[in-house]
Amino acid sequence: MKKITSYFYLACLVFIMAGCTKDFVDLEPDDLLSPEVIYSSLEGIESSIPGIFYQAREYASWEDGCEYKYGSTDLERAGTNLRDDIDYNAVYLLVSFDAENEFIKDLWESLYKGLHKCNVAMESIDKLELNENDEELTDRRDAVAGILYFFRAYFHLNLVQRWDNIVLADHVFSDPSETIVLATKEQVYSLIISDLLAAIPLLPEANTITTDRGHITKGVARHVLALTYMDVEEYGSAAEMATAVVNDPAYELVGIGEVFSVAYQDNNEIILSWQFTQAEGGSNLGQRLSNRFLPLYDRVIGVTRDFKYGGRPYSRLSPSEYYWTLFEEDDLRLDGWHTRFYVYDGIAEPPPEGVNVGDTVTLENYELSEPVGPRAFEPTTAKHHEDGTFGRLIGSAEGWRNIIQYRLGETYMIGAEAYYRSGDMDAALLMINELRKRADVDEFTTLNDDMILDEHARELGQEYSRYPMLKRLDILVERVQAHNVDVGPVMQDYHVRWPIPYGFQKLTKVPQNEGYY
Amino acid sequence: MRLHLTSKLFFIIGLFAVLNASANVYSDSKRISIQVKDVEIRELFREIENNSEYTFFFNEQFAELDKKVSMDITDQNISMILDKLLDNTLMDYEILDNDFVVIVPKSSKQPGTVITGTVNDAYGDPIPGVNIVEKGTTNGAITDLTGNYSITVTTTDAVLIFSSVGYNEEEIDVGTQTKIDLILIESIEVLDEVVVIGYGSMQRTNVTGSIASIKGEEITKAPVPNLVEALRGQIPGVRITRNSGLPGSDVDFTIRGKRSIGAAEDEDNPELNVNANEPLIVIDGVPYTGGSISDINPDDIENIDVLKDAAATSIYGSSAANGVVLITTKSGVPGKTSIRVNASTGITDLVQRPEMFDGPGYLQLKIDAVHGSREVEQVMPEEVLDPIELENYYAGEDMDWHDAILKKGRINQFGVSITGGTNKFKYYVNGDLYRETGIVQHSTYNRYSFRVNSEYAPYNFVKIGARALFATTQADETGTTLDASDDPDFGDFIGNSTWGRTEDSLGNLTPTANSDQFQHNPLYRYAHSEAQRNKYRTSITPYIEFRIIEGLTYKINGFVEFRNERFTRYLDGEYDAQRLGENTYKVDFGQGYSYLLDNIVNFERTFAQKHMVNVTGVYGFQGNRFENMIMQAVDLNTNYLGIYDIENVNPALLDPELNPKKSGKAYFVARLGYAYDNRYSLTLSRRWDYTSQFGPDRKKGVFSSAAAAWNVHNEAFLQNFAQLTFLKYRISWGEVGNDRIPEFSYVPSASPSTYTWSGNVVNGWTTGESGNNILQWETSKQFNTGIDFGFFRSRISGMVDYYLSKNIDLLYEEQVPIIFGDADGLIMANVAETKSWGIDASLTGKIFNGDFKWIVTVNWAKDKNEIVNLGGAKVDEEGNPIDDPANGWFIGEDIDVIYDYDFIGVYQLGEEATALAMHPDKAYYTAGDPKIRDISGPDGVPDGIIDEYDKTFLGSSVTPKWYGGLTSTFSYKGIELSILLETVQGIKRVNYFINALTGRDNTVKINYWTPDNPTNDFPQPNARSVYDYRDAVRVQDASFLAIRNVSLSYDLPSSLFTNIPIQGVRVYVRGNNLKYFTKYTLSYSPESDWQEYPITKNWTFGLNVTF
Repeated sequence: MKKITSYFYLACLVFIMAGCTKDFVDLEPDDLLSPEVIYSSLEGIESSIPGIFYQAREYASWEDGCEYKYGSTDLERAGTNLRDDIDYNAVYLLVSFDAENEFIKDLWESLYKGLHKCNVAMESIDKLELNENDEELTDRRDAVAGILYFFRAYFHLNLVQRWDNIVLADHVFSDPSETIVLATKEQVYSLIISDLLAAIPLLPEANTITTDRGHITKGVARHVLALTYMDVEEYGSAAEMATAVVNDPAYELVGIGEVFSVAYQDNNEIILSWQFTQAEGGSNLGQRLSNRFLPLYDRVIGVTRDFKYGGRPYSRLSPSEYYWTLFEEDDLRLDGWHTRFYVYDGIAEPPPEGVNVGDTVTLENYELSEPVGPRAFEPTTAKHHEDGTFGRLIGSAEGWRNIIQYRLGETYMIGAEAYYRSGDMDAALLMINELRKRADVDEFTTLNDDMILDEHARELGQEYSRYPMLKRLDILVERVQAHNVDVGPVMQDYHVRWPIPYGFQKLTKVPQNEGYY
Repeated sequence: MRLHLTSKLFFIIGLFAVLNASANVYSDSKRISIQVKDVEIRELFREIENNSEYTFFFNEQFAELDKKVSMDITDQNISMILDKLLDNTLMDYEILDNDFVVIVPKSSKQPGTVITGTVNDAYGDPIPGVNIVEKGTTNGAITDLTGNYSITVTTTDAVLIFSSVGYNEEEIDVGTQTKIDLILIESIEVLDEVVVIGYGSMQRTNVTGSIASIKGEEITKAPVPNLVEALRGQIPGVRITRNSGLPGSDVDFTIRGKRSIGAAEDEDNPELNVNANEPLIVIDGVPYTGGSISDINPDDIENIDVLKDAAATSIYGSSAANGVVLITTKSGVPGKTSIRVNASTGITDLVQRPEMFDGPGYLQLKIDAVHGSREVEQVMPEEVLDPIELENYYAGEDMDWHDAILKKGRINQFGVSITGGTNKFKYYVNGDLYRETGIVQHSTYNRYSFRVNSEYAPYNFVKIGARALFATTQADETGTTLDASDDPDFGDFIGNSTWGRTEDSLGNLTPTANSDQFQHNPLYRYAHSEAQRNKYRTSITPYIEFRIIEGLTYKINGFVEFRNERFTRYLDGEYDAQRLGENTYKVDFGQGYSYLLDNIVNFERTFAQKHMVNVTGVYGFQGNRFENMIMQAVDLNTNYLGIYDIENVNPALLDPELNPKKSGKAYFVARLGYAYDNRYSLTLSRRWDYTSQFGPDRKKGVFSSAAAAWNVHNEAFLQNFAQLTFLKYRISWGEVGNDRIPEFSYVPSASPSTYTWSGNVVNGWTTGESGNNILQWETSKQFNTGIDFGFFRSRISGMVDYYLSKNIDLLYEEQVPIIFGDADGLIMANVAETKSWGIDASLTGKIFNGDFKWIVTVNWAKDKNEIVNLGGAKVDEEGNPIDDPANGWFIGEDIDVIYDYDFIGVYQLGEEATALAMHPDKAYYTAGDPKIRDISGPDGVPDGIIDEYDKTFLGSSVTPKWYGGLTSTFSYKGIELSILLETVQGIKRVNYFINALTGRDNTVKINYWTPDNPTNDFPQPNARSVYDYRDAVRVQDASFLAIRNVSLSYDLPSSLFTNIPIQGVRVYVRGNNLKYFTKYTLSYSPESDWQEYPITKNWTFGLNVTF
């Protein structure tokens, strides 16, 4: 009897414990938030907007990302340290430039992540059940929708300009069995244009937002639409859009010294800049553009690393020799936007014998602390220079100044070219001469293709727009071969578009761009 | 048989006692008269028998029966006669009710006699832990470490039974003896030993699975703090590699190779790392769920059992697919208290030093690199050396960076263990200190461990016990701060210029070796940084076991552990010359607890002497929780407060992380074992597992196994086959699971995001991981068959196993096209399938037995794995599996295959045209560039062009063709020499020690091409760019033969300690990881990566005294 009792207790114990099984295995994560929570309310969808901006800016926090926009044009060449960026080295110098390149994959994925976030938010907005009579709510919804339309266009435009053949992300992809196909360029551009046209009425005017230039406004969308029309050769529409931006009272051309000034980084010429602050995430979320173009000037004995030259040099890229030939010596942009000389300061170490503090470094008087050659003190652009204003140290690789994406100077160039190509020479001259007046050089009285290309170079060299311009005019390969000593010798016709990343292409089985495998 | 008379007597006496229970004749009144002269006592007994009703029983072997006596007695009663007769003998008598007179040894009438003695084996070595039981009682004792015992007998005619695992049982009649020394003969079958099998144990003879066992003493022969490392080369099919030599760091190990392809690594937070191929470690019945196994003192280990096949492991169900290691810690040994003091000291040093270019060699490399980049007639040192280098060059002072940074390390260990107790209460206590200073500065590891294992048996049906551990480790890891991340990065500093310096002319450490801002001076970095790691682990494993009826026990096994870890790293404002004034802080505090409760019911009984039944049922649950907080910051602050300055950091620059980690499991386990006549055994097991690792519908998994064994040698038809000692055939099949993926991988989650406007940070949430609700276990279906054999009384014994394992639903982060929006285009999914198979075998030969003994054990294993398919997206139009080159996975190939070009030499002068023609996409290709084998083209045949079609499989970087070990032990009169060799053959690695050859950094000494040195070994250096096919060129054979450890010990003769309270003294010299014989010499070891802390060897000298 005693035994039976103990068996009974044992059995009870086991069953009691069995009942607890759920407690041990039904655990909830403590630090994970369900996406459903975010995307089911207007507030949540609004909170997804910073993530979309982040996606558009992401490239700037990568070393190679900061280089890609300036790669393989006639206005740049390799800096002496480019070899340190293995992946970008391949992208830029086109040596072993193939579909397995990690940087190309990263950029492609970054842009598609942005598209996914736009589409998820867009589809969630459609499902929101708002009181349509509540104007405050519907206004907020429209403001978000405007931003989403803009960015979907922006990401697609960035993709199509580099790769030509891309997958159109016009909806949320959620069914793994969906067949993935490449869209035609016409399909892509048609969606970009319709998205931008949808965005413009929903977006605010520039001056209704705070003074910073980091928001998406009607002006930003119109500027991008003008660029898009240039790509599809609808010059009349492009001119119209450019004019609308030029006439927008929120924007004006500012003085040469102000355009790229760290102190005035939200000046009225800026249409859109990617914004940074040290507090956001330290060096990880800083930008890596500030010192890309700086030659290794601090290796010159007697010249000390200094913020006036841009601080720590990385020497990944340089303006090409051809670029310097395009300027007249009295062009204000030449000294205003460039570092042309380095001066012995003797702070860290004395200049070489026979040279005085205050002398300029020349091929005749230099000595180097590292055997890096005389390109250590070649002239360069100062458009991206940054000093310590935002917490940057003299040795920092990263910076926190904003990166100018679109500015009015470019709008004038688009306007001028668009009018020129649609046959309105007077309007074209009016536009382009605004830039020449500011640079204090003679105004043009006539225009031709080369003059437009050259003025574009002078105004917008080492900014992002040279590559798409040469490409849409179908002169990328010939110009690079003619003027870029590093890329020219290896540039082939198929390099005009980038390879679809290997993994993506294998997974989706879409055809690879011609010339790559 | 001298032993059996007493037993017979007992039987007869018992019988008569029962039959005549009612007879009550008091025989003592009977009178006897007798006259004899000079007769043997034996004769006298006959005489009495003839003249009375008495009957004598006596043991013929009593020597005194021959004694001649004379006697003249009239009408005396029997007691008086016998009292007188036996007075001066060792014999005594007893008169039973039925007139039986039993002659017995005199002392046996005296309960309370103390019997002592020593138990040795056939070679004269003491056997500790021999169980001594007085027959028919619960009175018992156990031999101590020197084989001595002491037992107080409680009955007359005491019979002692001596038993010990692995030896034949002996019964000894105590008789008149007070000192019994005994030699136990090793049982002819190792099948007698008891094997721990998970939730219980079983005699080897009935084990059906593939289980390898190793004793604690074999582990302590390797002087390393990590018990897994100590297993290296000793168990067939277990492969252990040490990738980092950092004192106290962990090793990688696999049982029967790899089968899973997933793994997740988090550099910032090692707590979150998941190694899918890691075996499950179970210590005293509790899965080891977190932290380093180095926390466990190897000296506390009694026994390790490695479960290799599914028949053995499926009892652990969901996390056992990669094998299970069962570790049993030492228990108390009842008997005289034994105190053992162990102290050792030793030195550590590089085991292999990659040869670098020396000063002139490096200068030549720089010059050759310039030649390689352009046509130059002559290059002067002034053109390639910077001013600092030139100064040293002119002074003729080159330097060796290994000499500058490395030193000899030291190991010190001191431990005291006490064991003792009685049959009711026994204990084992061990306090141990291990200190290691590494081979670089600021690198120390101290472990303090304290263990108490005790057991109390208040009644003979209940046992209560607990195993408690407190361990703490304090490590200075400043030696790993060569890099600003947690990466030790040794590969970097060895590339520093040989013409550089560590100090300037004033004796101050310089930030860099020369003017190159990336040639960091390691000594400078150490001086400006600090990294500390402290760990605390406290655990207790209490248990209570009831014996309910004979053979049926119920055991509750509990476990609670608290774990704290603390890591701090501080780089002061001068650490990075590029970021002067910027202090870098990292604080990582973690704490957690684990618990477990197992209810184990076990029933074991043998019916009708032939049917052995063993049933085990378990219900248990376990939970783990760990949380760590990481705070990192970069700020401008003082250099004086070290890490504690973090509280003064600008709060906006603090980057805090709080990482919760939790998991839980509950399970039912059933196992049925049946053995018939020690010939046939069968084991069936099933486990129902519930885990928190998977989504609501996938928490449950069921794992079954079936196994059978046949002890062929017990068959009648083999009884006359004398050479065969034992032969056993095993076969098994089972399913096991693997749930090693990051926790909550199934849960979709939003991710936080930020953006900045006008300098203000705005936070938001956006899409993140998409999760996967249908995630479930990986399943491994394993088949195993093997034989165990022994010949010539086990002079030769061994085993061979073959296994085949099909691994399905493998978990890994499947790459999906990025348009599907998962954060990194990766979704954890059960998609892949692999299969693996292999053989493991071991053979032991006792070559000499006797005073001089020589035992050799060889083990050998071969594992093969191949990817069968990669699931979902990885199929072609016809549904056939296709490769995943992005991850380096190819159908039909090893998981870690190296897929690259086949480097076959260097283009020589005169071959420029061919070089260019073969590489049309490389306009610069010429003599001095790598020559690649033209294997194929678009049409499947060599096309004269080197492109993607020419990539090929160059071998596996993880799975060797075969591997094994050899242990050779010699012993002679207390001297023992044991040598362990390990070999791994047929493995390839990319040797990153060979760098870019641009001349910017120094590199290991290789024979590179120049126009004057037309070698085929390595391509020409080039100052402007890295040579093509960089990895392919650096693929090298990393096979090796290693002298893993050597142990020489001497036990001082016990005759030296007769008058002092010392039982034994052993002195020893032991070496670990002493030498590699390999072609892979340009590295710290053929097993480690170039950025890791170098691998070391060590020699220790020790003394072990037992009181």
